[in-house]
Amino acid sequence: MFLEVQNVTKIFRSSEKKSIVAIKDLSLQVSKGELLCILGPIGCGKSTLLNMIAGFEKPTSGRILLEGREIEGPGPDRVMVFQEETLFPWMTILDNIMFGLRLKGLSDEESRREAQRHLSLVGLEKFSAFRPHELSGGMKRKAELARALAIDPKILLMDEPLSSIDAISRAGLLREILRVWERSGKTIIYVTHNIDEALYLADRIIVLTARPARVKSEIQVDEPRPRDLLSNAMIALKRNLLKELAQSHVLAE
Amino acid sequence: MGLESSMLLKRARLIASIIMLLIAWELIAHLVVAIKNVPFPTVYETAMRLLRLLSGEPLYGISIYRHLADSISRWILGFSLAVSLGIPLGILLGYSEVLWDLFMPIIYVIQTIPGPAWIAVALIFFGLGNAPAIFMIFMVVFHAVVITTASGAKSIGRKYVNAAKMFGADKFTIFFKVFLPAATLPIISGLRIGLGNGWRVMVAAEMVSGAASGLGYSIIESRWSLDFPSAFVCMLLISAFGLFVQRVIFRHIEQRVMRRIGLTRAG
Repeated sequence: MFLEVQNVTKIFRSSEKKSIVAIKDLSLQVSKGELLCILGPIGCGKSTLLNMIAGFEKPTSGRILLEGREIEGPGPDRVMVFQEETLFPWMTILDNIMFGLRLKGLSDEESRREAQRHLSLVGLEKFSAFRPHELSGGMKRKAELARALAIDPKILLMDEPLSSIDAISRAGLLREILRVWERSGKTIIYVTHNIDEALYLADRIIVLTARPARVKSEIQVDEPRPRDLLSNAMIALKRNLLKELAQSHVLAE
Repeated sequence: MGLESSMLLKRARLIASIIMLLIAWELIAHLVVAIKNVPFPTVYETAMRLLRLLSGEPLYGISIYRHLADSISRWILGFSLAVSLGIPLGILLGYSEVLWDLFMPIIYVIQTIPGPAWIAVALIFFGLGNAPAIFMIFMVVFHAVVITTASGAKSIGRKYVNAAKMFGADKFTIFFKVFLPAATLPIISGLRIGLGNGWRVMVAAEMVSGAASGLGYSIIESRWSLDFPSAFVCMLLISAFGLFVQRVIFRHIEQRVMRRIGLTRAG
């Protein structure tokens, strides 16, 4: 198995007496090249799960294995596109993308070429000399996507990347993410609370329960892409997902 | 409404605000004189005193320019000493959790003590003169710079540091290429707060520290000389110079730095 989350529990201790169980005995598997969406209510612990896969946090118990090796900390084989914007504001867009490439040991010349290539991949080749604050929210997301892809990670982690984007840009960005995934063949784990995003993107959707997060159910989406969310098949899937999500709330209460 | 006319309107309101202040002052002065029968400097008296002092008439032995210059130099000295120690310390405390836990409690204790309350320590260290005033200014600028820099750098830095770690950056790159530039914003806020803190405490420090010159000294001397118009002139100068430094000089520097590092100030 490519990525394996084995019986992971995460407990946050907020004080001497109080502790919060964010994730409880959660297991899941991801195969190479898969586009997996993790769907769950806000605050259910899905970001925590992603943070542990990225290596920013350690499971309280259980293990996470990437190609059989346990994850020790953050590293360039697993790149995250955060919910909040993390482009370095003091660098140009090009320098932002070159940052990770240089760290990989590429020469300036090579990093520049690779960065330019990935900027054109997301349609930002004209904006390489701009600073992040000069770009729109959607363009910044694209730049972050390019920055993540440029260093050629094994797995791309996306933590509700479109939650702060308006509906019109969102549709375009969803198409962009899909296009990038189809071209690069990367494994993507995409966390969201938005059913439509999950239905539009995913090979497979995992529904989590409200806190503590456990796997509530798993839904395979076999519809061909690009998907029409208003087709009968998709509407049936959506109805099913809505039911699952409603139940996952009830379970928690 | 056009941009031009709305700007004009804003300016008119500012002038109206100043006129209101002057009218209130004048009314209070006449009321106090009428009711308590003690002299309270009116706007006119104060303005005349200001002109005479500006024309070089000495106040407690030296010109008003000397008083102003002495105050400013104490303030600049205290401020620059505090900043040159406070910024590096703030950055380190923001970067390292261990250092934060060790030193932040001390800084918070210092923060609770108002500048002039350091008088005993200042006198023991330095005796009378310039140094105790500079020390008090130092103490209030220092904690403001450290706290603002450290807490801002910690929260702003975290997300950029996480991103850098993800790309495999080593500690050196993270600190110098990511954490430091990210800390620019909180550093500037710290400087702004420190600047105001220092200027206000400068006045109080001169009152208690035995400095024989300065705007604060001139105000406290009016207790004995009963030269209240001069005290009012000093208050005007304190306010005018304070506003000038914060609104004109500092804002200008701040905006240049912001543009340079590509950060737009939020809030």
